[in-house]
Amino acid sequence: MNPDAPPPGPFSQILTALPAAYYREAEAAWARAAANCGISREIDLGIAGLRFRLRFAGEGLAAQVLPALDHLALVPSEPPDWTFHCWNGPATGAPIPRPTSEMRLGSRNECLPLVSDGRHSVFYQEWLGALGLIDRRGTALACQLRPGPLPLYEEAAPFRALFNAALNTAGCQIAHAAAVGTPRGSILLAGPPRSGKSTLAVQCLAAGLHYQSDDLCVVSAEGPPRSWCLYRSAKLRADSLSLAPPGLPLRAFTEGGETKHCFLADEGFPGCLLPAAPWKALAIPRITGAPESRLRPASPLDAMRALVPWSVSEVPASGNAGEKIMLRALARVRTYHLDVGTNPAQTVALLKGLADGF
Amino acid sequence: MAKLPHRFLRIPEQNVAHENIDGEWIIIHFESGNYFSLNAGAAALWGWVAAGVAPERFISAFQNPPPEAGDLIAQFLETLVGEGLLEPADAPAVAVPDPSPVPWQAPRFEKYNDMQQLLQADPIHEVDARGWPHLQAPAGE
Repeated sequence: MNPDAPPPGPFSQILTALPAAYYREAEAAWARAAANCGISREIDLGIAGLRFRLRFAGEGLAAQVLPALDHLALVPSEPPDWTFHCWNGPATGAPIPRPTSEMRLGSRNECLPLVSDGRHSVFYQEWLGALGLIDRRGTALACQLRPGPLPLYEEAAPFRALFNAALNTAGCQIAHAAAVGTPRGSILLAGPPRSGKSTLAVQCLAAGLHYQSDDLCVVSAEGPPRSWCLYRSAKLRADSLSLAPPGLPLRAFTEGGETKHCFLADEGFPGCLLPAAPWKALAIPRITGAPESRLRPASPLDAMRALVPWSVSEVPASGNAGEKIMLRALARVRTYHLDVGTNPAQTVALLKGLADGF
Repeated sequence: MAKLPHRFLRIPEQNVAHENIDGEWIIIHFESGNYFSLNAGAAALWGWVAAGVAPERFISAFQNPPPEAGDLIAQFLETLVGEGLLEPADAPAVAVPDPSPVPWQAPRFEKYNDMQQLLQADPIHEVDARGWPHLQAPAGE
């Protein structure tokens, strides 16, 4: 601190007190929800070595979000690293007032700066009807602002902003990438949305590779890079439905004008999940239509372009910390362009070779 | 020789992500959404700044620098300050050893802004008849 600087005046004191005050306001809403409806469900999840305790007030929300997460369940024993309080505001009679236009000024990566500081952050996903608040001392509040069921996208990958903000404190980041592999190693498939990552991930799954994600996985650069399965959901395009085992429950939704079909990966392919693995390589897929698939080295710049910007834009709360984590990890993994040919078995064999090799 | 603009420089870590990947520095400026790659001469300078070496020691750390090296280094550092990638700093708390000499190359960087909308982390997600979620196209597209 500059010793010549005047002490903060009343206005500055009000501004610096806002994040904690807003968090307390939201905490009071959670307390009302719990008092009104009771704690309906409590579950401990293990993610990247951290223990998260999710507590739900009222019925409904837990049943919607836990199917994508309950493969991570731990026996509740020791105190958690993080406790998330989760509720639907209107359904529990305990809404949080929506952030005002002033609070939304300068919003970046869905984080509201006026009510965020080094300890607290507020993530407002208006399009999703979700408000998340985190206190980096170990608690978070996840409030759904609209009554009724969640959009399927949120059901398939719930609480992204809060998980990511919490994981960042441990040097981990949610990456926008599919991830497949074997117990010896994982391969991340990175690139823009609709570049074929999901379909390729499910092709790998159907061919016997293990699965971590088709869209969002957790990566770390602390020590040797690792990747983790966070959500067990997977998606198929209409033209790839033949990859799904017969009788697999599928739920359709529209993304970018295209109908996709969502399912739980290990319901279709029992035992397929790869909870954690050494992250061996990043591949940037491109569908060529040629008969042969092949791997070509990708430059550091190409690898960065394929992973970092899309992760920052698709994962709320990424920010500069997330960029650092992903760059640090990219410095330690091999990076390739994957020209995807017309023979899926050959493509899968290339990826398996990478996962098991070096 | 141009006077070096600042006695010490540092990387504003709160705004800059940077990593040496296979010998190539990649730098992302969080505020602007620009990203940069450096040639070998610039990479040497960046590594020295990151290590806390004082700019006045830069010229002597290059092997066989030409007479204009000082001017080129000063201009380059000033450009990096202008891009928000470096900022003036106090002397580092820990004494820094002399950097290992490297061959001279005029420092240059490539600046990219093609991912600016994504890297600025200000995506506007929309939900409309196309389903959800997708990023709103930037103005003018």
